[in-house]
This record gives sequence, C-alpha cells and structure tokens, in this order.
Amino acid sequence: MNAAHADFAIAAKALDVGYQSASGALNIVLQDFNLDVSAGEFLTIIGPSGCGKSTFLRAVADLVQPVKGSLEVFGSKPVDSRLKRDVSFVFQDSTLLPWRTVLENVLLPLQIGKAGTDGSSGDANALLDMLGLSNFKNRYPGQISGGQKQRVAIARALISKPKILLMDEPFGALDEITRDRLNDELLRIWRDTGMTILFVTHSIMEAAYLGERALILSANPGRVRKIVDLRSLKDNGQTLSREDPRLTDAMRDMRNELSHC
Amino acid sequence: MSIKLPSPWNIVLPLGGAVSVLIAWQFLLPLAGVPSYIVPTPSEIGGVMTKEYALLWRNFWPTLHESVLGFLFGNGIAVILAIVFVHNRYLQAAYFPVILFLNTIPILALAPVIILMFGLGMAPKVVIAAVICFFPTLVNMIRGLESITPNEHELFRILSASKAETLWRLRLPRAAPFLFSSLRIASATAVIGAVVGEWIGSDRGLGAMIIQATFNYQSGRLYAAIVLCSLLSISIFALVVACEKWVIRYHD
Ligand SMILES: Nc1ncnc2c1ncn2[C@@H]1O[C@H](COP(=O)(O)OP(=O)(O)OP(=O)(O)O)[C@@H](O)[C@H]1O
Ligand SMILES: [Mg+2]
Repeated sequence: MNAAHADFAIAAKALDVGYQSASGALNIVLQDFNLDVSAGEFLTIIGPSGCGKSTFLRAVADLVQPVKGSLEVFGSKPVDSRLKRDVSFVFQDSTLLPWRTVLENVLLPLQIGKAGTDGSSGDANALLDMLGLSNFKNRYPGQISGGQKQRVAIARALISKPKILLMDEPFGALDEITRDRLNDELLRIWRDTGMTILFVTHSIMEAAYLGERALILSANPGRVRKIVDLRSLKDNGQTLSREDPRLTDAMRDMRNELSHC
Repeated sequence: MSIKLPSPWNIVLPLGGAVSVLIAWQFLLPLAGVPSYIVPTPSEIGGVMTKEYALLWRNFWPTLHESVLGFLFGNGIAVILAIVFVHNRYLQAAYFPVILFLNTIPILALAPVIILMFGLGMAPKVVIAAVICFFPTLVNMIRGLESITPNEHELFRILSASKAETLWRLRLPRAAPFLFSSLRIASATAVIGAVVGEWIGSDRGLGAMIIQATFNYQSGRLYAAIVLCSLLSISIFALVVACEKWVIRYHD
C-alpha cells in the first residue's frame, strides 16, 4: 500500500460497481470510476437520475461490492471501516424507527454491536441540544415535522462519531427555508468535527453552496464528468452568502455541464 | 382510517344498540310466538345462569384452559416458525407449501383424527385450538417480519447488526402490528377450536354442555353455555387489546 493513500478518506481507482439482476446478468452502473477524497473534505455529488450517485455511497458504506478496480476507505477495505463504525449514512426519508422516541432513535447505534461503547446518552442529549431538538426528545417520529425528522437522522448518524458522513439527498424532501437552515447547520457541524462529508443532491444551489468540491457525474455508464473546485470561494472559512456572484457563476457553469451529461 | 365519533357517543351508542336488541328479544320474541324451548328470553337465560351457576362454572374452566393453552401454543409455534422461515428461505420453500396444504383440511375433518391421536383428555382440545390459531398467525407474522423497508435494512447493515439484533430491534417491532391483528382473530378461533374438540370427545366443558343440552332440549342451559363461550372470547380479546396497547405505544 502506498503511504500517500492513507491521507485520502476515500480512494477509488478504475472502479466498476454494478448489480446482479434476477436473471443473473450483471448490470454495471459505475464504470472506470476514479476519485480521491481527502480526509476532512466536503464533497457534493450531483448528476442525472440513475447515474449511480447512491450506488457510489453504498459502495463506500460496504452495502454493495465493487465488481472491479479498487475502493479504499482510509487506506483499507470498506468493510473494515464499516466494522469500525467510521462511516454513517443519512437517508433521504430519514428512516427513523417509528416505535422509538427521538432520543431512542439517536441511541440506536449505541445499542447495536460492541462498536458503540464509546458513546453515551449524554452525547445523545448534547447532539439533540445542538440540533435544537431537546424539547422533542420524548416524542415519536410520527409526532414531529419532516425537518425535525431529518435532524434526528443526523443526530443518529453523528452519535457514533464517524469519520465519514454519507448523505443521500438528505434534504431533498424539505421546503427551501428548512433546507437552507439545515445546510448552514450542517456546515457548522462539518467545521466543528472535521468529518469527511459526501453529500448527494439534485440541487445545484446546494451542491455549490455546501461543497469544497462538487462532483458532476454523467450517466450510462456512471463516470466522473467534472470536478468543480469551489475552495477558492470559501477559503477564509466563512459562510458564503447565497447571493455571492462567484457562487452564481459557479452554479451557471455547473448547470451548463449538467445539461451535457 | 376509521371515522371517529365524539367520545361519549363511543360508549353510549354501542351500549344503546345492545340494550335495544336485548329489549326487543325479551318482549317482541314471545309476542311473535317463538316458544321459549327454541329461543328463551334473556331473563330466562339469566335465571338459568344464576340457578345453575355451579354446573356452568365447572364446565367453563376446562374450556377456558383449553382455549388459552391452545391460543398460546398455536400462536407461539407460529411466531417461532415464522422467525425460522424468514431466516431460512430453503426451509420456507420446502415446508410452507406443506403447511398451506394442511391448512386446507377443514378443522372439523381434522378434529376426529386429533382426538384419535391424543385420546379423550384435555390435550386434543388444546391441539385443535392451537391448530386453528396457527396458520393465520404464521402467514401474518411472516409478512410482518418481512415488512421492513430497504432503507431500514441498510441502516442495520451499516451498523453491522447481527441477525439477532436485526430481529430484535427491527423485524419484531415491525411485525408487532401484524401479529396483534391476527391475535385478535385468534381470540375467537381458539375458543371455537376448544368447543369443537369438546363436541367430539368430551363430557366436560362448554362444548360438551352445548351438545348435551341440545339433545335434552334444555334450551336455557344451551343458551347459557353460548353466552359463556362468547364471554370467554371477549375476555381473551380484551387481554389481547390491552397487550397491544401496551406494546404499541406509538402512532405512525
Ligand atoms: N438494488 C439494486 N439492484 C439493481 N439495480 C439497482 C439497485 N439499485 C440501483 N440500481 C440501478 O443502478 C442504477 C443507478 O442507481 P442509483 O440509485 O445509484 O442512481 P442515483 O444516481 O442515486 O439516482 P437518483 O438520483 O434517482 O437517486 C439505476 O439504473 C438503478 O436502476
Ligand atoms: Mg439516489
């Protein structure tokens, strides 16, 4: 193994990922996929529907096995980081368990396996505090709003102190105001924790506003079309205004690129 | 969604409905010339129930035991088998069709066979009650255990949950509403099973009493036994509902 690899949170080389169909045929989704993600980076992923965004996250999370090529997470196989609880996942539909209260949902990762022993209910309360959920912790998911559910899902993902946070269109079903607010909270959490975040979205605005780099994928087969570097806009570590003309320019370029995918 | 009436009506209307039927039964049936050896009035049935209290009580206990034991065994085995089937597709593919076939045999045809196998004691009645509860619960439970969503499944895989943890923390809570809806039905069918068993081979229990009372034209006693059967079902049903309320405290 190359020592430089370990600096990357995620390194994909000539990666093929696909699914076995019921008839046994292999359907390749991502082909010859190359990508390095540095530790601590915020990478947004955007691309046409069905291009394999979710598939890539699922490969990193060890939910689907690569067909060919190599995929390393912190220098070793995805399965190792899964077993070490280095990776957390936030789904679009929050996937809270309806029979558990908000607090119990956040505590779930600590109650499974041995990996969770380094977290406590104190951490859960602190997370709920941070996400503005303290008043709701004894409610059931059926009794809170969509935005609150997604906050709970984020708290649950953070309780195991992951190094990598995978988010698959986490705010896709929310209204714009709630989404903006959660975007800012996510940026704050990212700065505070130094986590690596992979964030899939269909919103060009979200992709440009959140990411240090934005990955644009093309479909059939899923490949890296372009990586847009947005770090120059965000170097001072301050939150960018959503009306910043440089952001608008970047979005125009991205929209243009996406129209050719 | 069921339509919710304002709360006092929830009690007043069903109660009023029942009382009006009882009043009609008490006063209109004799007026219509229905003789009391065919349909005794509620007051006559009540009279038999107080007068023959000891006899009824003596026959109530065996039926209670048989139906409760049958309910527990039938549903318990169904739940365990559903858990096995969900974790082993091969076993499910091999044995579910066999169970499906056995389920097509009418319980009335099966009952004599069970009595032949288990003799005349309480055991065959328990078995019949268990058999009659078993199949709906098995089917419902399999469906419930498999009703987890793909995302829930992935969540547990990312957490590297073992099969036991996934069962305990995900599949069983998901299956609970399915299980309870079949337990509600089983609260009535378990009693049917026990009574059918007693018809065929017993001199004790409400089922035996029903048969004897019918042959001897003791219609008061017959109706009293029927009332007790129904009270027994309702009690088991109420217990099931209480457990359900306690287990399922959330609402979607
Ligand atoms: N479990 C699966 N089994 C078989 N094929 C799958 C499976 N999941 C996804 N696919 C296929 O893989 C391709 C990529 O799917 P993927 O979910 O990764 O796309 P996506 O980029 O996330 O799309 P969207 O933006 O709509 O979420 C699609 O063609 C899809 O049909
Ligand atoms: Mg997707």
